[in-house]
Amino acid sequence: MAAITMRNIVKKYGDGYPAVNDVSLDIADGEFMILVGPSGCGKSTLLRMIVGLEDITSGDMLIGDKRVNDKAPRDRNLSMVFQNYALYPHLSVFENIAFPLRLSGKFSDEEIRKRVTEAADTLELGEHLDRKPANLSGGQRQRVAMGRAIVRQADAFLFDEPLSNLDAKLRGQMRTEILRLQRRLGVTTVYVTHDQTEAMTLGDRVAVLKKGLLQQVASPRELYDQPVNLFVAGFIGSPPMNFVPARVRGNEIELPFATVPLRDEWRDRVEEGKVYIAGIRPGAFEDAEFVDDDKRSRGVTFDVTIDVTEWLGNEQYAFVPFEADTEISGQLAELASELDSEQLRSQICVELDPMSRVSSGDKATLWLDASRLHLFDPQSGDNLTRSTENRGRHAAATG
Amino acid sequence: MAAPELRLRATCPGLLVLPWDRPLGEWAAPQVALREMAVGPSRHLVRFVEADGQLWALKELPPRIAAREYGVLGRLEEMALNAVRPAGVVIQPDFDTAILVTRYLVGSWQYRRMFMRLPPDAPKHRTRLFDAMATLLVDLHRHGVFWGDCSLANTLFSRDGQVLQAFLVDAETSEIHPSLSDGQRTHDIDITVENVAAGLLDVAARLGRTDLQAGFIQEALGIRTRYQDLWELLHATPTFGFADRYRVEGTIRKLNELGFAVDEVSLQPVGAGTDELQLHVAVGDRRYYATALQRLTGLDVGEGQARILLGDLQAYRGQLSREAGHDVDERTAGQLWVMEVATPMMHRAHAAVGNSGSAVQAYCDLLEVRWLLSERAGHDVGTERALHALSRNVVPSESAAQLQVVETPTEPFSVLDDPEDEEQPDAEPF
Repeated sequence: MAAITMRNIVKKYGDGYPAVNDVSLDIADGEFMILVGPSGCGKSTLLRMIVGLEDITSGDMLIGDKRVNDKAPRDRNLSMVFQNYALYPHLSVFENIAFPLRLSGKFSDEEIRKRVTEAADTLELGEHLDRKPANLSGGQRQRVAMGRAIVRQADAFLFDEPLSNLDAKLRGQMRTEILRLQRRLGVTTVYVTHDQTEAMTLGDRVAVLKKGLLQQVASPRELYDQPVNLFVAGFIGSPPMNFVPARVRGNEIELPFATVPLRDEWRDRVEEGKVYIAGIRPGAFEDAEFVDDDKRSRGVTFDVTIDVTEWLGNEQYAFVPFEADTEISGQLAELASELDSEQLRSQICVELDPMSRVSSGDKATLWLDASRLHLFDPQSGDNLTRSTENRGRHAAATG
Repeated sequence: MAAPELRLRATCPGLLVLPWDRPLGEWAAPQVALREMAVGPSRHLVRFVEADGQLWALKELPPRIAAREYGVLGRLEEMALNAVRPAGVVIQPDFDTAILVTRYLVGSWQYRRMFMRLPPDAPKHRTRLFDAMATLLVDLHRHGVFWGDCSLANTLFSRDGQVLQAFLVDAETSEIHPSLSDGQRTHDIDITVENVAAGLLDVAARLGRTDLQAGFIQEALGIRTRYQDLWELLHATPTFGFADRYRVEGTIRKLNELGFAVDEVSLQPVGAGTDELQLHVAVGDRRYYATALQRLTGLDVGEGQARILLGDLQAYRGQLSREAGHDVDERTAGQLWVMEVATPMMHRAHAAVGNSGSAVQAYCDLLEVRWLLSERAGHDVGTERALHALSRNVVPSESAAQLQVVETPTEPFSVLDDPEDEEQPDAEPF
């Protein structure tokens, strides 16, 4: 196993366009790193440069302490998992796992038996080694394919959108299997996805890319609670963060539907009278009736007319229209296109307690947790109110 | 209900009226003319449908993957590369799925046929198989196509004279780039070697012949060498002195012999003050003999077939010239050969093999058998004896003509019949 280090990695194609632009990233030995972003962000290109499928225009790629820029893929000792997951019906489970080792010609029968047995034990396939694939359950078959990757004893596992062509049920199962395997083996893992559920549930850390540029590398929790900019804030989270105009006036921030107090520590980061973009997660709202008394003072209440509600059993969302400020609507439209999303409409999404009886067309009193609001610079997109504390993997949600 | 979105390149009425609003798995005979075909494993549901007198392969996929594969197959067709041809893609929003439609490749067969119908100790036949795969990979790579999942099961084969042609069937993992990096090429080969080795080990296990396994692994590894040799030949840039520039001809001949046309050669001085030249060859299509035969006779056949037929045509022209006492020009000889020799002999040869495969291939087989029997006998055995041997299928072992057995019957059978044992789906998808 080994760390993977990228220093100022650039990939330019013939037309000079940098698909990956000056990315530096340290992936620790044993770490599970996710590369995520909308299509065209450079995440797959980056993975392919690690594997050796794409030539590196400039920069250094290190696996362990060895520079591998000029090494052929099979000389890098990496394993692309699920690249090959056909199972062969006349071969036993043992042989289905063993054949890459037999092919390499480097191992004695004894060594092959040892590796396959160990991998099978890790995957809880030990009792099934003599069976044929047809006698295995769906989940066990998936683990046979993983066994093939394990027996190579590679320095790292690489996954390139491995679940994208599976149906939803199998996708969920496989996600769990991959996570369990990685935790058990502790092998360095790089995983490319455009699916933020995969990104948030699998990774120790997540690297968010946009147009070839690294935006933020952080734990899923930190990305969610403390995004560095509008792009990360909008990309991570589902339903997405709400963006609304926010004018600073005196000791307050005026939102289209409410006014919240300006926190003391933000005073030197914002200008009086200027319009910013406020980012508020749907979960920062609540039906005022359902707010505990001890929490209530942390936020503000306000009255709105609910447009539509969506009740999903264990969660409930309501949509509330608002007047978009022309000063920032251009910014928000650009953001929507960068995020590959539909134009953000002039409505906010609020998460309500599933017990709330608020329904479409109702007047309702909502509560907003003012401590969970972020202000973004409309020009640069930077998060002006990001807290640099509590950045660890298990950092508590702000507020 | 959301209506399905149809994109069809083949605007056949029978295709248009299929029940696109229902999941492929629910389609049933007799409403739909389903045909059971011997295909390999697929991660996805694949069914065959007859419509407008043609056979179509339908594959159910997530919409994103289907649209991508449709696009890739379309590009492969534009580049005239050996692959199944896309006929359409239908998005079914109600089921969050899509159906990719491709034309069934007439006259093609799967590797398992060869292993099941011919004795397993026939390395020459396997050599033909692996030559075809390596050649296909080189062709794809020259055009910037990364396959990503080349395997025996993902390849279809067809006979072409004494060689085989391989066709890409599954492009789910394929990508098309302006050109491929060395890393992409070697990785594609690594995947191929691993997949082919596993496929062969599986065949050996199925036949109960574990003794074949070690040899099979070596043969799978040999694909890498075949690929590299061909790639290097096509991309070599030898240098030689100005006085030795005749050596260009040798290079071109070698390429032509392999079927590659040469679009351009350029000789560039290696540096100032030296008479050393570096040769760059722009290699064109792999249809050198086919183009020549078509020019002379109008016949449009495979490259491997054209090579054999051109040999026959040249021999015939020699005979004509001897009889006439002067040189008969190529074009005249070509016209006469078609009328006097090729057309009648193709019919006879085709009849001898029970009209299986194509008439052109049957004639190629006849020529090969006649040559091999004559060589063995030490004299020309004549056409009749060769025809007789062909009709009784007592052809020299490991001759290309022996592969004739893989061509019968590729015909679809009704879903009510049991598929042949050897053609049960193979590797299990999960």
